[in-house]
Amino acid sequence: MVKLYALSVFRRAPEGGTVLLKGSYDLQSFGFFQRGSVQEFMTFTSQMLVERTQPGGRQSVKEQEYMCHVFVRADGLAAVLVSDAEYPHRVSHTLLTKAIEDCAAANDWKTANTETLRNYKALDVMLARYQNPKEADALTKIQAELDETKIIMHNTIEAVLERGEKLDDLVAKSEGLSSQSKMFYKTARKTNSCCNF
Amino acid sequence: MGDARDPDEFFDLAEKIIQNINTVFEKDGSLDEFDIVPVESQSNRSPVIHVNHKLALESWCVPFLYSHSFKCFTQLLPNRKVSAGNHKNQHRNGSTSVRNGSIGSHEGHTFVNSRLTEGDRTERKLNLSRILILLNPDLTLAWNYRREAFIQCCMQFQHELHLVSLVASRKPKSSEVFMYRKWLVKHILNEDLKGDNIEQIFTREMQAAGKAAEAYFSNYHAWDYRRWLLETFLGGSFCPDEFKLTILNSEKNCSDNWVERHISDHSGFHYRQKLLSQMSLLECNVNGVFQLFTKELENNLSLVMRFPGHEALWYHRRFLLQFLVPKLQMELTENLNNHHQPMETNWECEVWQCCEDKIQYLKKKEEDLVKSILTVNASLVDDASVNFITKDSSNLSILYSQKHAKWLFMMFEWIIDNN
Amino acid sequence: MKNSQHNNHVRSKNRNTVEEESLINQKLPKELLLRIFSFLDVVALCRCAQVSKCWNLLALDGSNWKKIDLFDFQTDIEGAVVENIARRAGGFLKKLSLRGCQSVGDSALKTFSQQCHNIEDLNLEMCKRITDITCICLSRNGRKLQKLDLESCSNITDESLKALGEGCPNLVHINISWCDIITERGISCLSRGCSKLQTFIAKSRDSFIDNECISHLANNCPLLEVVNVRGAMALTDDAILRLAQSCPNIHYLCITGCCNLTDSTLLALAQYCHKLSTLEATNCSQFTDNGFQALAKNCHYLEKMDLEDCVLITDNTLTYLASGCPRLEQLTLSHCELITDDGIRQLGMAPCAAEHLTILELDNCPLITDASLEHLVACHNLQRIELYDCQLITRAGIRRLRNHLPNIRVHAYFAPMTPPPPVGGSRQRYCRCCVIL
Repeated sequence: MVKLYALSVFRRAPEGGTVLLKGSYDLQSFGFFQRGSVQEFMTFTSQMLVERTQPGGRQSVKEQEYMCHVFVRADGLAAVLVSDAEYPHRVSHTLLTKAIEDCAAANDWKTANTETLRNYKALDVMLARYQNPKEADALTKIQAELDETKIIMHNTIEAVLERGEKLDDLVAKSEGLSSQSKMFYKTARKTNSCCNF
Repeated sequence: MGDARDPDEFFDLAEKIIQNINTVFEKDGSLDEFDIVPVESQSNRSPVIHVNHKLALESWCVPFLYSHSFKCFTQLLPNRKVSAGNHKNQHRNGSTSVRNGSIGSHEGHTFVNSRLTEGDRTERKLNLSRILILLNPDLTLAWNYRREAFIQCCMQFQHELHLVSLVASRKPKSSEVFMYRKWLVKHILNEDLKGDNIEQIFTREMQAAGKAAEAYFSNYHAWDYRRWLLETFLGGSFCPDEFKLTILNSEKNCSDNWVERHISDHSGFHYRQKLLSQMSLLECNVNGVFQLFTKELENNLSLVMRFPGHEALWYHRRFLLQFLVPKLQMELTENLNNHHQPMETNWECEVWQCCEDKIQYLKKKEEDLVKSILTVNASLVDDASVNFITKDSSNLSILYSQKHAKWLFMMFEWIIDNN
Repeated sequence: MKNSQHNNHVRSKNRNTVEEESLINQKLPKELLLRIFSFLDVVALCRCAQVSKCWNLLALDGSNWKKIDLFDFQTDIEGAVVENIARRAGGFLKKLSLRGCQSVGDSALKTFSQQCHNIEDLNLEMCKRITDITCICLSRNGRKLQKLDLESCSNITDESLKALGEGCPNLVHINISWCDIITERGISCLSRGCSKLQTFIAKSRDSFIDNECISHLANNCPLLEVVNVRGAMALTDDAILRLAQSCPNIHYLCITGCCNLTDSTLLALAQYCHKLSTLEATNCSQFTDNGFQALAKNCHYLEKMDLEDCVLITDNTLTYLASGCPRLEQLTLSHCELITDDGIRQLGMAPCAAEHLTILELDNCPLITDASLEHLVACHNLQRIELYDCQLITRAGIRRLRNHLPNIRVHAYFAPMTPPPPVGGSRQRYCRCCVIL
């Protein structure tokens, strides 16, 4: 499926603290009762990626049928895009650049937070528009040539973690995940989700 | 000691949950989603969640709810030996001498069943089978009972279809779901229960198949059902011709839309191929077919370029060629055979020439495509600066186009041989 | 030689045993044998009738066919069966249940009523094909009819009731639930003719029972003891007042769903019906503490009370009931949202609590906490307590209650700790799609 699921913008402080500025989600393809947990997990994963990306760096992580692309600008403004594995990843990184530029231009991002950016709709618009990657053709022409060598690729989320860190532990400790989401994670990990009763 | 409970209380709790579920169905006729949410039992709260026309069950109650429903259901089916020790001439309503006991007793499975009137028994079996298929759509026993009941009790087919959609919302991949849909539609068409609703039925069924295909990648059962619907409605005498045209157009649109967003969905492409075959039947001559298929090849080309490394697109391409070229070939040979007859009009000349040209044209296009892909990707693969994801897809592109070249060779060899 | 002697010996031994068995028939007098057979049900009797000629006569003797229940055969019963039974049993048949026998129609019952004129108890519940013709025949032939159940016989009209009123003056028990075409005219005829009526059951979904019907009953049937008018939404307090005034013997009253009734009803009952023992008042949402105060003061025989959805009642009602109703066995307070632990404390200290209280339903009472359970530990006969959706109740509270009352059944939404074994053993299960595809 060629699809975008989430686009979010973070502020990354040099010490490593990360603040979510704005998140935009298209989760209609998930069951009604799963959407809450799915959104929490996408935010959780996005935040984790931002924390583990150097300023000025780009990463793309593949996890089952999803791809997470992250770009942290040198000054600390960062964006994460969660898409399906079929969505062309060059376009994804183009979108990240655009999201960051637009956000910086429209807002005082250094002091902002989710509250102040409540009415900032540009990310929602982007997410909807670029569901069809054809729309991004114009964009790629405008932007500077993307240096693909600089994008670090990983085949699983675990590859992004520091040595000794376990995903299960991070999930359990996280404050952004409700107990239902944690439960969801446990059961999904245990069995093939298809056979899960 | 603590919380140890005796079997009676399982019975009662399961019955209470069943009652809650039945109430939801009675209250809300437009449920559109069902799910099981992973929650542990922590508070004294009903596990049945009903929000916004969506129904959910908390996962803690599912195992014992299922086993209870299954036990009760099988005991109610005719010719079942009731487990509480019985004589040979077991009457289907249970032992005739059972009179006492309270409804809550679990040995009173028998008792509960034996005091129900026929109408109540049917209702209870329907309610139980509904829960069983929601929890486990693979349980053919429950589906078969519903088939029986549908015929005997003349149930409303809309309700049944609605229930099936609800089941599919959680398990879109289940084969039983589509088998049941198929059986229902067949039954409706045969028994002429449809009334004036042909178009409605068709649209709704297509939507259901589409929804399931969307929910699960490469959903064979959903697409096969869709194909069956298409062929039944197009081939059926109950369907007026104008509607058949509408069907084809709307399906073409849907498929166009689908293919752009699901480039790796083999089942979706397979359906598209059937659709194109049906459309080609409508064309009166080879020209029409040629136009249709070359347009398709163009679209396919742009997809191949935009999304490298997806084999489904290549298979589709091969289908298109495999379908088109022999037709052109046939036309060609027919005209060659007829060629000794004096040519009546110039038109025949044009056709003969065009077919030959067309075949050559197609051959050239394919060879060009393969060449360009190989060149572009060969350089990408050797470029150290390219990341591994791009390299991966480049390698795949090379592989697929090489396969394609081989296939082309065999295909056109065959043409030359049969010329 | 030896063989045939041996055979003779065996044969005579066999003959002896056969004779011994048949002596049973000769050893006991016919009356006793018939009495033994009278305990058998229909299936057993039919089987016995096939054993031997002697047993055939005994089994099929009319006196064994006084009470017949054909419910277990339901849809298999057709008119012919009923007619056969009627002819066989004749004047002996006193009690017949055709509950659920949907295929039985008027003609069979016509034959039946002609053959079995001693019928006293007839149950025709769910015999949907029955029409007025049946009742007219019954009235012509069934003077001795005492109990008649026509629940769900939806074709019954006022004509039936008129006929019954004329022909069955001994009618003591009538059930016309869900016979929605009936009007007060029919009830009027019935009540005038059957003044010995003790039990009147007329449940409905959209109340064909109105105030007029009740006044007819009140005027003509002073012996009424059991009245069930569930669903009669049109009823108002006046009707119940009239009824209570005229029928002081009422001990069972069901006014579930009669949402227009107010405390005046309870006051009327308190004044006139002191023998009241069961009151079912689900959905009578206008009842308040005042009404129950009066009721509890005067009706000391109350045993069963169903007050579900009487949302206005508070702990005061429980206090009144605790002091006034020492025989209280079953109390339903579902959805009575104002009830708190204090009310339950009062109940727990009541004279009825220790020995009488058997069933207590507190589901959907959100203010109930574990403290209530503490208050109930002294109720030694408490068999069942409903606590669904009482969110403040905890597992620990329930555990403590079970420690005191080990046989109690507690109904709450807590998951069982030790689930029952799964269906089909414990092998790993895969859904079909994962195995095949």
